[in-house]
Amino acid sequence: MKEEILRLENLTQVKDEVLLLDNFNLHIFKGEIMGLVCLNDHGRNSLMEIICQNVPIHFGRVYFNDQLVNDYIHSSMSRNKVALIEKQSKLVEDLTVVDNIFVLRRGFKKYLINKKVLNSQFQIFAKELELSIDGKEYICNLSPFEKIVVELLQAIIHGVKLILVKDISNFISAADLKRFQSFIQYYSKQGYSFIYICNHHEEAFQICSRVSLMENGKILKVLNPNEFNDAMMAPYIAEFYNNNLINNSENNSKKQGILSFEQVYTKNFRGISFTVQKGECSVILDVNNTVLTDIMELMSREKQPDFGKITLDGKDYYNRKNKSALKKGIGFINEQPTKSMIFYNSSYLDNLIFLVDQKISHIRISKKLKKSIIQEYEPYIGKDIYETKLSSLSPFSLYNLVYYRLHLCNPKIVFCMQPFYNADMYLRKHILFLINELKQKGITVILLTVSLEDSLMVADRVLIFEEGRLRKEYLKKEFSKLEQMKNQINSPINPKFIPLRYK
Amino acid sequence: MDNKDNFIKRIVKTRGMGQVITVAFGLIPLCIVFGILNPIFFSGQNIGNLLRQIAPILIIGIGQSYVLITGNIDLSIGSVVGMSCMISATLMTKGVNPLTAIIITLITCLTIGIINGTLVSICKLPPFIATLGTMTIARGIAQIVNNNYNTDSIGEGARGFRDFFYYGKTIGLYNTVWIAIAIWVVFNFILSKTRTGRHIYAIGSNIEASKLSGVNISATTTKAYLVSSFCSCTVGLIICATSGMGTMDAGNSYEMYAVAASVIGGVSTLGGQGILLGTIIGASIWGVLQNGLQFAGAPVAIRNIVIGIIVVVSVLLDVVIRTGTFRFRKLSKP
Repeated sequence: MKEEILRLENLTQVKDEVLLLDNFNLHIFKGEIMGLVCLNDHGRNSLMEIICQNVPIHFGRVYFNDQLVNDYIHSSMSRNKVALIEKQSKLVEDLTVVDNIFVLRRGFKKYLINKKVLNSQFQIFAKELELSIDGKEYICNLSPFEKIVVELLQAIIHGVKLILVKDISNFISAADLKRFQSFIQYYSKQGYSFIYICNHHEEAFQICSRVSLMENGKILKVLNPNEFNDAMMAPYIAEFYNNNLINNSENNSKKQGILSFEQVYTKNFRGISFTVQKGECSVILDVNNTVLTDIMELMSREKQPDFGKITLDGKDYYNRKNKSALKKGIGFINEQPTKSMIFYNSSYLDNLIFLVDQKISHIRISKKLKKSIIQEYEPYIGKDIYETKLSSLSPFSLYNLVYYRLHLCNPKIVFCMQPFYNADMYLRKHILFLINELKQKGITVILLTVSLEDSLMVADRVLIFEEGRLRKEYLKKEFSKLEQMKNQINSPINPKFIPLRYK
Repeated sequence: MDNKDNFIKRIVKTRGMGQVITVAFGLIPLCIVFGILNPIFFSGQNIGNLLRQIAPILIIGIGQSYVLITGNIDLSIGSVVGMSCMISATLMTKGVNPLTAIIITLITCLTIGIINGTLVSICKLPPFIATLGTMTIARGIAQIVNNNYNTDSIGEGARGFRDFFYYGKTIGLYNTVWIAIAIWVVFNFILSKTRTGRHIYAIGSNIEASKLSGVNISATTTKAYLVSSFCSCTVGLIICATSGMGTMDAGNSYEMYAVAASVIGGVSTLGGQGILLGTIIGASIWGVLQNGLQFAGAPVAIRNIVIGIIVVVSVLLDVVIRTGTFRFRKLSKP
């Protein structure tokens, strides 16, 4: 008989009069990897919070390890034996791996710390996974992949029963993802249960024993392995692929180079040369996730190459004239821009014109100019343009703000760091539309990403970087080869672990 | 040989050692320059005095480092020093046995540490405000304890007390220096080798992760403030032994010296980083500058300006070491 680890029964959660979870039902067995594909992220965070901690709920019951731990009558606020692995690490960066795993543990009784003993204990677990992480290494020196592996080991050693893995494909490379998935499978066979949360069903199909589709705080369908195919998914994702809005203009024949890297060396770059054409959308896919931050730092002029040259419109990018990247015509959109690129204390309009006032020579923007901006952008943005309280706006409207701000500023190139990170299906579709809007205006768009997934729908070119070098370049007509490559990566995991390249 | 190499590698790899080494290399030319300016700087007597001058700064630096590593700050250090000096001196002038006076002083100072820890970790007051409050309270106690007067001389009855804390020598070194060494060894051991030490680093680095890992945030924060109060109390007793009386303005601005010693030595003001070896170097730089500039005939104002500049430069160095580069470095040609 299967042993049940988690059961959510008629779970209903309401916050600020918003129904986040609506009669939500889910059960997970011991040793099972349950996929949770969220078509939109409505209620997702609330669900994770309820699984991790027994917070008050509106209706329903939560059973953990066959015990009723939370119901609508009484919530103890205690924490369940659940670990959450996501981009934001739960590790203490200034301590070593063994300190995080062994010392920062409830019930660690020893007062004096013997690093040697702890490291030898850690190596037993590391050997099991064929890992070459040094237990005495500080967390801040680890790669994102190594950090999540340490978090996984921490969870196992701390004796958690259920591990939530959230959106890991957004920040680790495809090769690392495959390796991490093999670790998940290894531990699931040892009786640990997992909830694998992601936005792409293809990703979940590779690893999960069952996949639940969630939308608007409700489970739409639970798919069994024999239903893991695109045909089963089609009714739920049809809207996403109906890409009438996306207009991939093909008239790229007369394009000229606008940005070029010539033999650029930095700490992570190893002699990279490439040219980006004017008006195109290029995708930089970093297989190891090492160079993307370097590109952002180089282009924002926080850093300069150790060797090599970067030219923008044929001129040295680091000449002393015009020190600001924006004045040189470079715009940036950060990962999760609604968190990092919006001034929530200012109005929508002030946010929208924020970059314009850096471009014009006047001390303040005249009312006339503001009026004309409203006139121009109201058809795109709608009535939200008059909004003063940004926290009440939808993610769609906030993304509009971030992208149309650059649309208005009209830089030569826009760099988008992981544009689809943490976005649900509908939001991803909207982001694709916004990227296309920038392209339509003649702005060159460069998407920096660690997974191809949605980027191909707007890309004109894909540059693949591996270990600090440009490995391959694909033009639009060669994208079918990329799809084949993607399928190869998505093929079932070899049970034997892939040796680590890190150390 | 290999083991030796590994040992050196391990030492260099220790987090925070980079800045300690950099600052230590800064200390050497500083000593050479002052030695050239005035050869007395290197005399045996001056070195003895210099070490005795550095010791109190090192002790309060240790306390401040503990608090800074937890991501907080203790502004009450100077006032607790003053309070310790005044309470112990008043008790001794009233004929109380020095040992009893020390115990009573210690209990009073540790109470301030507990109050600081409670205000910051349980009442969630910003550490700057909480310790600013206790700073004023402690200074008030220092003033009120002898009715707003400095005390008389603690007298010949406290000769042993004065020798133990300041005038006596053991194996050729002043006792003040030995006290500083003992305190450093104990607190360095606690910080680097025990669970409490790991918890102190953990809450300074990532308080949320520490909570999730079962670290008792309020207990750990209070422990750090207790260490700070203990160190301040010791320095207060040293000052009392030095002057042989209690002065109400004892320990004025010492909180700033403590921050300077910690920050110069590489303790991050953001928490989670720093080692006590750095505090030794930080306190030494402070002492060498004070002593050397005094020999060079520089007025107090100039000494303060120089120390201020050194603090700013060391924080800048910290940033450079962490990011690995200057922000506006010249482009090197291929």
